[in-house]
Amino acid sequence: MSEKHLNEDMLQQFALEPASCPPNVIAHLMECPECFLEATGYHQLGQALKEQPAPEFGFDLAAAVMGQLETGQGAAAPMEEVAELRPEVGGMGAPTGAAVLETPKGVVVTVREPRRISRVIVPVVIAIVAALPAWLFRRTAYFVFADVSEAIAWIILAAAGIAVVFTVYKYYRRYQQVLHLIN
Amino acid sequence: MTTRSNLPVNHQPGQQSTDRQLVELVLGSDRQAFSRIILATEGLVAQIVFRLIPNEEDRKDVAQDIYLKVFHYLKGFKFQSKLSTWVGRIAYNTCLNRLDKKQPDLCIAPAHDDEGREVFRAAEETDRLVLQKELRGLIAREIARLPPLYQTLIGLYHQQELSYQEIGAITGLPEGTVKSYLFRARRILKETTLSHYKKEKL
Repeated sequence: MSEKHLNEDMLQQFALEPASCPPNVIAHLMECPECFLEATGYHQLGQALKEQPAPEFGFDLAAAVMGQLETGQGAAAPMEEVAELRPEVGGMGAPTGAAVLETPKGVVVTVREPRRISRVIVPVVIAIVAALPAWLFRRTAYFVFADVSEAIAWIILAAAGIAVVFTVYKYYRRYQQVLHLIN
Repeated sequence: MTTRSNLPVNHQPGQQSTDRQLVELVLGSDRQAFSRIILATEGLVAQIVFRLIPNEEDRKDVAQDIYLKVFHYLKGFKFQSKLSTWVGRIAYNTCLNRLDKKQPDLCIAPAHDDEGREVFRAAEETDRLVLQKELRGLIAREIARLPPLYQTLIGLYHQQELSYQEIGAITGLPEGTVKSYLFRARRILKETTLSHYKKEKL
């Protein structure tokens, strides 16, 4: 048995999702009364949470909605509501990791969190694609840029730099919006 | 109450066919079928609305608003998820949009110490046989003190028995984040509950 006690996450996993618990965790719990006791606490908590009374609307929601539909009160959704709904409705499935943002002007931005694999693969592919020709044609590139006047070289560099700055700023803003939405 | 499943949210054949039938009936002007959708998803919507909207009157408006949106945009439903998940997502986003104007602190957790193990041991020593009813009441109060987002996740996972994936689809949070928030919420609940018993004992 490991001397180290299980962390809270493992205790919860054992107590609430035993089927997905790694064998070494189960083995530790079978031999460690302290951890087992902790896990029992989470098990009791899980039971108590499950037995909590479910919230219920104190009115006949179906009748109220159907009544509104009959009288046509809910018939016309304003344009901004349609815009607001687009990602909520059409986006389903809006994938996990997508955040729906509405700017004060009512413009909807859907920010999708990159998938884990693409987060790694895409930058690597971009780096390879950019680096390979640069490496292959490094001598040619040197002569091309050696012949270009200093002013043009600076303009090219400045344009590339501005593009990079804007791109970074754009992604930073989206990241901030996602954080704002979550927090 | 639905049953938690490890199947992806958009791969549940029986559920899909029922959803499709219901949607087709509603789109074919059978409005009674829509009330069946409301009855089937009301519990899930209540979990979300009650956790995120504190005001009773607002809840009524929001709940009706959610289903009116569902009705009007039902033809846009692409069956890429369960209908209930889609409705849940609309409910969650509608609540967020409503709350956005009030700038809620969805994730701010109350301060808690890091002495869970010690507290738990103390509680175990003093009173292990806690009455289940009393515990439920205490936990209900502690849940109400959690940040709204944590309350919502607890309700969706433990009461609606949704999978992490379904909760992620509803809230737009990555599964890992859902899992992590749930772990954190339960830890807070455990610690605050045990602190309560410790204080009571003292």
